[in-house]
Parts: sequence; C-alpha cells; structure tokens
Amino acid sequence: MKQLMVFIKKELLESLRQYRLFILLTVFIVFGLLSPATAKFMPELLKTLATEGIAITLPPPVYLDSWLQFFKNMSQMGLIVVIILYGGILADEFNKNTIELLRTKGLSSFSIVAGKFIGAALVLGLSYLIGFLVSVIYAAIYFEGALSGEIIAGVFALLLFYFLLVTFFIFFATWIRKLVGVMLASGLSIMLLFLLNIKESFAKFNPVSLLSLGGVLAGDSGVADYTGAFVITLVLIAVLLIAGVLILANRDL
Amino acid sequence: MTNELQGLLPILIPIVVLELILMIVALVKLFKHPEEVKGSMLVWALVIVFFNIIGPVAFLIFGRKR
Repeated sequence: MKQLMVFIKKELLESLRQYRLFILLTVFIVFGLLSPATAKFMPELLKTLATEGIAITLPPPVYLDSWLQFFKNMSQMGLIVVIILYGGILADEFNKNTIELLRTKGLSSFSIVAGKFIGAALVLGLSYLIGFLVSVIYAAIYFEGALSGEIIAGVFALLLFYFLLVTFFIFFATWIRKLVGVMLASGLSIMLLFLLNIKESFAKFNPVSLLSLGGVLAGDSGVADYTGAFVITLVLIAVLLIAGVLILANRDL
Repeated sequence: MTNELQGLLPILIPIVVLELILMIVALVKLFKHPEEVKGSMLVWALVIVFFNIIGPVAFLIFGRKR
C-alpha cells in the first residue's frame, strides 16, 4: 500500500512536470467558458452571416443548449486532448525503460497499474470538475435554468468514458508495450464498441453510449435508461485493470 | 454590435487571460531551455504566438525532448 502511495505521488509529480495538469486545466476551463458563450451567441452569429433572401430563424437558446455545447466540446476536442496526453501513459515508460528500473527494485505490477490509473484519474477528474464548475457558473449567468440530475449524469458519463480510455491505454501497454500498438489496439476496441451499436438493443449497455449521452438529453429517452452502460463501463474498467496487473506480473522484465 | 460585445466580456476576458498564460508558459519554456527544444526555435515561437491555445499545447506536448 505504501508502495502504491509513493507511485501515485510520482505520477502526480510527473503530471505537473510534463504540464499535463496545466494543459488539461486550461483546455477544460476554456471549454467551460466557451460552451455557454457559443450557445448564447450562436443565433446572433448566424444572423450576421445571413444575407438578403436567406432567413435564418432559430429558437432562442435555452439552458440545456449550453450543456449540449459543453458535451459536444468535451466529447470531441476534449477526447482528442485526453488521447494525446494519456496515450503513452504506460507505453512511454516501457519505451524509455524507466518502468523496468522500478520493477527490478521491487515495484509490484499492482502498484504500477493501479498507480497509473489513480494518478491519471485524479488529474483528469480534477481538471474536468473545475471545467464543469466554470460552465455551471457561466450557464447560470447567461441562461435561466437549473442543473438537473440528467445533466450531471451526462457530464459524469463523459468523465467515465475518459477513464475507460485511460484504462485501454494502460491495459494494452502491459500487453503490447509499443505506443503505436497501444494506440491501434485502443482505437480498434473503440471502433468495435461502436460497431456493436448497430444492434439498437445493445446501445443501452454499450460504453460508447456514454459519449453521446448529451444527445440523449435533447431527445425523449431519459439518461436512466442507460444505467446499464454505466455499470458495464465500470465493470470493464475493473476487469481490464485486473487483467493488466496479471499480464504484467507474468512477464519477464 | 457593441452591445453584444459587452454581453460577451465576462467570458472573453477569462479566455484571453488563459490564452496569455498558456502562451507565456510555453514561451518561457522555449527560451529558458533551448537545448530541450525539438526542431526550430523560431518556428515554435511563431506557432506558440499565432495559434491560440493549440500552439502552446502542441509545443508543450510535442516540442520538447523527454
């Protein structure tokens, strides 16, 4: 346990040194600011684009629109930032052989996998939470409305999906080790999950549904229908992490 | 138009401040440790200054030798 704490500390320090925390914080806060602003001023922006003869009529933006923008930003640009920052979370250490050094000193594979995940989850979670709070404040300034449980569920669904991505990066790194392979395998896994969505009844249990939960909010069906997807994602994260520990433990240095 | 701009101010100011912070951190890193920079310093400086948010982030992630 003490080993794990030390390794988490090392991970957090690394996040600071490599500007991961700094970049995530800035990007997420900017999204948090930008989302209510785009929702509010999009109709007016479009109006200035409209030339004679073209009439663009849009309903006035409401509170939910601000959050739909937030989901869109976070599930597109936010996702890319997470992939770039965390793609090599474990693969880079294999590449530089830094992890072998620690393993020869007796660092357990559990500490490595759990430490990597917890470290990443703390940094990601903190930045995401702050971005979310900024968005809460600005949405309240520009719109009338209140945070609903559904919006909060949608917001945390995305965070959970980020965690799943990080889990993929860690799991595949214990197995494949090379960064290119890790990225490819993670990409393929996500693609496979998307393919499963072809069968509509799967969508409610599919982890990738967490990505589009924002769209669900705008529709008729409730977020509660997607509880299965939350549970399966959590189980998948746990299973992959445990598998990662086992694979790493059974490999030579 | 000025009215709309005023409505935007509470959001524009923090965004500009964040962009500036990001830019300054990246520039300080660039000029303080030239030996760690991958590729041309001039190109990175231009990228950092002229591409908002993306430029400094790209430099901090890809621009340095680890």
